[in-house]
Amino acid sequence: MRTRPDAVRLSAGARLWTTLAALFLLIPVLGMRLQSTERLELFHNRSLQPWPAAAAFAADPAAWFRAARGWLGDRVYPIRRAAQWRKRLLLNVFHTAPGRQVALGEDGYVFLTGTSNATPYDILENICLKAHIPAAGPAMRRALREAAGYGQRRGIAVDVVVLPTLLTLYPERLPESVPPQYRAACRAAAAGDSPLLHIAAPAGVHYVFPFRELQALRDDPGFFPQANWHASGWSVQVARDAYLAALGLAPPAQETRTAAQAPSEILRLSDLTRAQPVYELHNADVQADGDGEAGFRTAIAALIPNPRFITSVFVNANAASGESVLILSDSYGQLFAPALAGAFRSVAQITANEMAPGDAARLIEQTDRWRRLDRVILLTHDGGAFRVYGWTQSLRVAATRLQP
Amino acid sequence: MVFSSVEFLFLFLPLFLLAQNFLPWRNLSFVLFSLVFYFAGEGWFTAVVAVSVAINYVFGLRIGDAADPRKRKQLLAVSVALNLALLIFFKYAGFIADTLFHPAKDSIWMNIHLPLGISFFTFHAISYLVDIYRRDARAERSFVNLSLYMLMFPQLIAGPILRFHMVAGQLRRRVVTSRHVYYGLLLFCFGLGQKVLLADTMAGVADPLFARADTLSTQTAWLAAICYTLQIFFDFGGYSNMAMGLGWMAGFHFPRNFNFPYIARSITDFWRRWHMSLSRWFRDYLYIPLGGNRLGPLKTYRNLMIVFLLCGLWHGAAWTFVLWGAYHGLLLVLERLGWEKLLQKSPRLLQHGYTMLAVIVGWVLFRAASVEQAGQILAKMFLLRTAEDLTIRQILNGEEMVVLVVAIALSAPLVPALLRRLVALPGLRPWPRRVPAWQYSAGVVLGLSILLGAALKILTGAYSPFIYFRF
Repeated sequence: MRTRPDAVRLSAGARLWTTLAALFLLIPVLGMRLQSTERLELFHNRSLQPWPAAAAFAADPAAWFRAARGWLGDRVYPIRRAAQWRKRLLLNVFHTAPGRQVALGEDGYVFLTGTSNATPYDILENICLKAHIPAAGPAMRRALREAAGYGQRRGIAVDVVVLPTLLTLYPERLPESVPPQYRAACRAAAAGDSPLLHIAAPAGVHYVFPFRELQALRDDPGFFPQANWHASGWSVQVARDAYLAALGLAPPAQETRTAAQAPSEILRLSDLTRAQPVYELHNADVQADGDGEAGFRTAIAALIPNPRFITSVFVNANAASGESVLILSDSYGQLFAPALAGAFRSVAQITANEMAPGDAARLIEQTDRWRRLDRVILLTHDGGAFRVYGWTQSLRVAATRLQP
Repeated sequence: MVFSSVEFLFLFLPLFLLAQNFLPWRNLSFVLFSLVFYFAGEGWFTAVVAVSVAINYVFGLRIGDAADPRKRKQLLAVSVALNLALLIFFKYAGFIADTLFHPAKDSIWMNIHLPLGISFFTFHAISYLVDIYRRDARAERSFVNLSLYMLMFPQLIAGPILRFHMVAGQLRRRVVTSRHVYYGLLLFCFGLGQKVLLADTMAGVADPLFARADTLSTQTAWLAAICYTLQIFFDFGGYSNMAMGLGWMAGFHFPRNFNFPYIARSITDFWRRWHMSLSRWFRDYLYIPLGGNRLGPLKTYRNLMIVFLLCGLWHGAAWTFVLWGAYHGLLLVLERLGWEKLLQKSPRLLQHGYTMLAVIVGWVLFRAASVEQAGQILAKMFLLRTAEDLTIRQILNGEEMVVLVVAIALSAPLVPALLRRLVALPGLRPWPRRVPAWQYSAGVVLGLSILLGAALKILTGAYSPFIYFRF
């Protein structure tokens, strides 16, 4: 074996350039220590990949290197900033959505169509293909009967509120990049074909799907924030008022509504900011009850696997109704709760997406022990109606154990 | 490990550059880095390439030392046969078994691991042996230098294919100046941009379309074919440019592998511009030894068909590749029969149109997962059996539309020619003696911009398949 150390000659300039280039290229690896693990986990929305075990090397070195690559890929610097810059570039230069699960409509409309890049249309599928099919009618009627049965035996009124989404209210704004079957299904649902619109609730239960009320006002650009996933402000106010009207209650007199600008909720998920017109509700009578929320969380903590579950408790000393209400909901309940508190003495809300549906009755029992309940509202957006079906099944099972 | 990965770009490459800078045994360190590069992807299968180097080292010396022409010929035949046996076993055994006796999917024949780059390092080995046999080069007495020729990581798994006599001198002695480093870095950045910004974006369109070939409309079938045509050019062209850039940085002058193949005016012209190192290899080590065009027209056509059938098979052990090779061979024979002369008398636009149409059809055969799928797509493209499908506007997002236009523009030499007036660019010929300093500065700015743009995609883990790795 022969080779001479001087067979390759590098000039001083070449050494300088290559050293500079090498140091520049090493920045993403050398900078890894500048990032906190916690923030990186938040960014990836999962635990970071661990460094592979040395013992695994001999068995399959290629697999070991793949795992090491995963470790490096999760931590490389500045991955969070790079993702943000790339998404900004996509949005602002190419008018391209920051992820496959986001669809950019015209006139500033932004739709969340899927829960992840890997499932870009599962939300659309739930809302437009599954929620408004003929089978949804009998399913909802059965759910309402189950809710009524539980309410009668337990002495707590159980109501169901279903809120429309941006997808069913503004289907014509969906861009052409969304597959036509979804757009057609959303349009059909918006045209009044949904069986959820034609349901008569049994006695003792109030059922509200305020689609037509919201549709009547949809042309105001801030009515349902056009780049948000959740209804808020004016649209929530209209939905709340439809529910209060079903109960025979008047809207809160103290409440005011002002126009404002707020960043897009959907784009903020991708670290992007884009202002949009919104409406904000103000009611000085409604107060967040911090101590009450702490007690509420303690009462129900055992039922929710994720300790970071979302709750809120509001109180209103001047409410028209002296009832204490629990909103068992998906995330749509978070903005509905403070609006509803304008009319009730106490409103507790829990976002129960991660709770086993079969635990709904236990959750109501635990809450009732913490603060005597008069009313429970099962609330979801229209694509989440299946949650209501799961919760009322739990109520049906619980009702069989109660004395009539 | 691929050049457009986090671990290569931000760890392996800088460490390699520092090692080349500060370690005295540069060829040895180059070989060690190449082994790590290969080992990271192939694990213990690195032994296959190591055995190949060892066999060729021994045979190379024996061929070089043998004085008797018959013995030299025997040694060459045995050594080439050994190399081909290795290639046939790992790459074609499953295909041959499947064709002859349809073994079960889980049989040993159907699960032979294909070591990365085996087609490339086998061709390097054959080039080495034949060059020594022909006395075009001396046998390499340094095992390290021969290892470097066969294992050099920039070209180890996707070329360009270096003929030994072209690089033998550089293996033993080379000089790296700041200009080599500048051009090397710039070429690497260009290649990275071609791969990450253009090819990967086009792959994001083409791959899902090819995956649902049976539901495409005429419009979407054409879109799939065009996007793949651009993807494969910028993928492989980009990889070749990165390899050349890495070579420059280490003092090697690799041959140019692409010369704007999509402006070709015939298929003959296309093969003078596409994967030039492979074309030259087949010309020097197969076509000319078969007699080339010296034995009359019929044997010329036979030789062309043999070369292109083998060229197709070289790309992959599947009937789609055989068909692709046969298709190109047939087109070349037709052009030799007089079609090319006829073309030359027609307007240039028609020449380009014919060539691009022929090339795109060829890429459908090349890309399709099966002959049946290729047939489905070609039928959709030409028989106008229009099915209901998405429109182009529904398929392409804003980024993909811009990249499609940019990729088409960069397939022609006009933009690079304009760029050459502003930036000191590496070219085919030796660089000019005097380049204004500001053109170097412009090059640094351009290279850095491309690098940052590509890094944004790489850091965020965007979709990045490499087509030529499987060959």
